[in-house]
Amino acid sequence: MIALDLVGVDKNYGGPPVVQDVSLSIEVGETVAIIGPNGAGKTTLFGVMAGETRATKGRVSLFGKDVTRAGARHLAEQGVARTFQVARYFLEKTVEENVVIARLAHQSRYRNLVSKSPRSDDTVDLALDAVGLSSARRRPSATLSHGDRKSLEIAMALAQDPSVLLLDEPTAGMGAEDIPGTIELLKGLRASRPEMTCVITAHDMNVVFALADKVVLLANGRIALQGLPDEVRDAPLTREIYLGNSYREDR
Amino acid sequence: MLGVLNFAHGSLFAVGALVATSVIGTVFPSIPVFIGAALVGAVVVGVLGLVVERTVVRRLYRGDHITMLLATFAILLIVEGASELLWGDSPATVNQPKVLSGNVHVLGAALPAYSILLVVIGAVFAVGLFLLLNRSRFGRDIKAIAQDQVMGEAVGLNTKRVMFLVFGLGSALAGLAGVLIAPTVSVSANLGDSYILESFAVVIIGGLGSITGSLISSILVGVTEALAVAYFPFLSGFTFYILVAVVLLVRPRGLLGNARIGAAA
Repeated sequence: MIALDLVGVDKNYGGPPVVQDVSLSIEVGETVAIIGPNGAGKTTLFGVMAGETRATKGRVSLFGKDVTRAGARHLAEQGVARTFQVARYFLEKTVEENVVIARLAHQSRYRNLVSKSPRSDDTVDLALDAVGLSSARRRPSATLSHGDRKSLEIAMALAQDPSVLLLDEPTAGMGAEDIPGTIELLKGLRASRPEMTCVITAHDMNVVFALADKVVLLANGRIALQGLPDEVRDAPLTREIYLGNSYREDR
Repeated sequence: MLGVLNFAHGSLFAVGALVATSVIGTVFPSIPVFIGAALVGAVVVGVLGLVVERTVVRRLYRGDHITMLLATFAILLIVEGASELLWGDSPATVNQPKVLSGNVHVLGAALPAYSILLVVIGAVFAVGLFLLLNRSRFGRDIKAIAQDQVMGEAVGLNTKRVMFLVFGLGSALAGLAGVLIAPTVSVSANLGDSYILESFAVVIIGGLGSITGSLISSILVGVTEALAVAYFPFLSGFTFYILVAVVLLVRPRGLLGNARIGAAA
């Protein structure tokens, strides 16, 4: 079954298209990595999948339902959770409060404005456990290290019990020593939630090849190539436009 | 709270007072009538605020602050003009309930009972708002959205509805305040003008987005003005400008302001 389906998606901001004629089908439970040079349109395409950016043309469906014009909140309600390249969370809240907000966000109907703010539940505990932040739950989130902020964002996404998880550069800005831990964390998530579909953008090829079932190479807003990680890595085109000819030797 | 500096609030406040003139008329109201007037004022102005949010303010959240300021100033002018058409341009007076028109002796000083009531009501609402923001789910979501609207959307918070309700609530409180202030002033459509500048001074000194800051700042402004009247009469009416200037020079984001909103403003 197809979880996320893009057909002929274009996006321009009034000028030349940033994303052009992108068609991509992502199966339930699959992990797809989107790679490409800077300016290839990864972030824009990601925004389209998350509902934050509206496609100028084409169609986006989620589990067979048209969500082209749905918007970020509706996609969140329908099980799409995301992280941001630069971690976003509610700075003035504690770690736990952040996860609680994410957990309950789309249930808030405000019929009763004075209803008490609920506390955490099992889902929140599990999400904090999964990213190793249980012991830091009472800490103000602003005091977290960079790596922990990224983890907090992932916990917030998990607390929404997502069917589709979008990870925008999950290791961006991390020190080299933190990256293997994050890769292990994400691998663990994949293993424990086989039904969850995952889309990752990443510059770090170690992340891509450790996690992805399928790799999509984006260049100038178009899909230049897609296939199994090894196929894409070994393709001459990938080396030419992205990895550079020395990539192989470096490994 | 939302990073919106709302000039229109002054005119909404005046509408509350004008509603009081219509509901109460020229008689001395009984307590139930006065409470009724307060409720009607809050509801009428609250609904007016919701209309303003949906038609104008909502479109401008993502724009810059100066656009919002100009738009809400335009709304102020429109509401004031419409109020003059509806209620006329001659000032009216409203009586307070007779029971409350006497003085109360506190530590030897005679204070108007009504003023004491206003202070008590103000305190009750301050505590109520504090609890709403810090203990309720609605308040928690408001604060989250005030911090990061994009993230709020991404986790599925209904940011539009929250902002709509917050604006309505703020307007209803302005309407209520208008009714309560009516017996102490001469009521006219431009009643809000004199208050809005002082309120801005309070908000700027306290720090944008901080309720506690506003509370401290309102006391600071009030006491400074009172002291000025007593000891430096030539400075009266001028003190809050001096306070604003000093605070902006020394601490541009205000006493307890949110650096993000302050910087953007």
